[in-house]
Amino acid sequence: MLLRILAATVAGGIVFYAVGFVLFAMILDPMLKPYMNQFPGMLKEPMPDMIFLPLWNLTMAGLFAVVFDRWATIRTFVGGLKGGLIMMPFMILIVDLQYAAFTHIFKVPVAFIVDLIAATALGTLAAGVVGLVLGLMNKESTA
Amino acid sequence: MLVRILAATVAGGIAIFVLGFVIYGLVLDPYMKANMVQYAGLIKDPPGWVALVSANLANALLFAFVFDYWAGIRTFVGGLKGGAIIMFLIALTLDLQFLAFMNLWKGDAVLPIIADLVGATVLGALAGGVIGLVLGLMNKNSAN
Repeated sequence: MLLRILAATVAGGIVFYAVGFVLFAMILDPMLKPYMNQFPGMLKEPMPDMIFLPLWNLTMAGLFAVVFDRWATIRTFVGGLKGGLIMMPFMILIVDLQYAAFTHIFKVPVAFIVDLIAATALGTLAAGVVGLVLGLMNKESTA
Repeated sequence: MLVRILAATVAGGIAIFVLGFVIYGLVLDPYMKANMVQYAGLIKDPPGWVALVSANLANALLFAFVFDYWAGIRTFVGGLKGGAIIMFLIALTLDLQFLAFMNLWKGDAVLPIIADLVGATVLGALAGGVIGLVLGLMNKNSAN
C-alpha cells in the first residue's frame, strides 16, 4: 500500500508541477497579476523556491493518493478525474477563502474565480493520473 | 445522505470556527506574529467574516463528504483519525505553498511551521471527530 501511494504521489506531483507551470506561470500569471495587490518584497521573485515548489506539488498529490487509496478505493483514470473534480474545488476554496478572509491579496473577485477554475482543472488532471497509477500498481501487486 | 452531510458540515464548520479562534486566534497568534514579516496593508483587521465562515464550511464539507461517501466513518474516533490525516496534509500544502512563493517568515521557519502543523492537526482531528459523530447520529436516526 505504501509503495502504491508513493508511486501515485510522484506521478501526480509531476503532473502538478509540469501542467501547473504551463497553466499558472506561463498563461495565467500575466493575466492574474493586475487583479492582485502587490506587497513589495513579499513574493519570491523572479523565481519561486525550487525546493519547496515540488514538495508542495508532491503533498497535493499525496493527499489525493491517501484519500483515493485508503478510503475511496479509486483505481482508474476516470475515477481519479471524478475524485479530483470533487476534492480540488474544496481544497482551493479552503485556501483562497482564507486569503480573502485574512489578507488584501485579491483586488477583485475575478482573480479568485479564475484561480478556482484553473486549479480545479489542474487538480482534476493530476488526480486522474494518481487514480491511474494506483490502479496499475494494484494490478501488479495482485498479479 | 444529503441531510446527513449538511448537518455534519454545519456542526464541523462551527467546531472549526470555535477551535480555530482558540488555537490560532488566542494560543498561536502572538508566536506567529513575532515570527512573520509584517507587510504594510497585507493583513485584514478585523478579518472578512463571510469569507472566514465560508472557508470553515468548505473545510467541513470536504471532511463530511470524504467520511460519508468514501470512508464510511460514523464515529467520533474514526473522524478524529480521518480529520487529523486530511488536515495535516492540507496544512502542509499551505505551508509549502507559502515557503515556495512568499517571504513570510523571519529567519528559520521550521519551528513556526511545526507549530502550525500541530495546531492544524489538532483542529482537524477534533473537527473531524465532531463530523464523524454527527454522521453516526444522523445515520442511526435514518435507520430507525
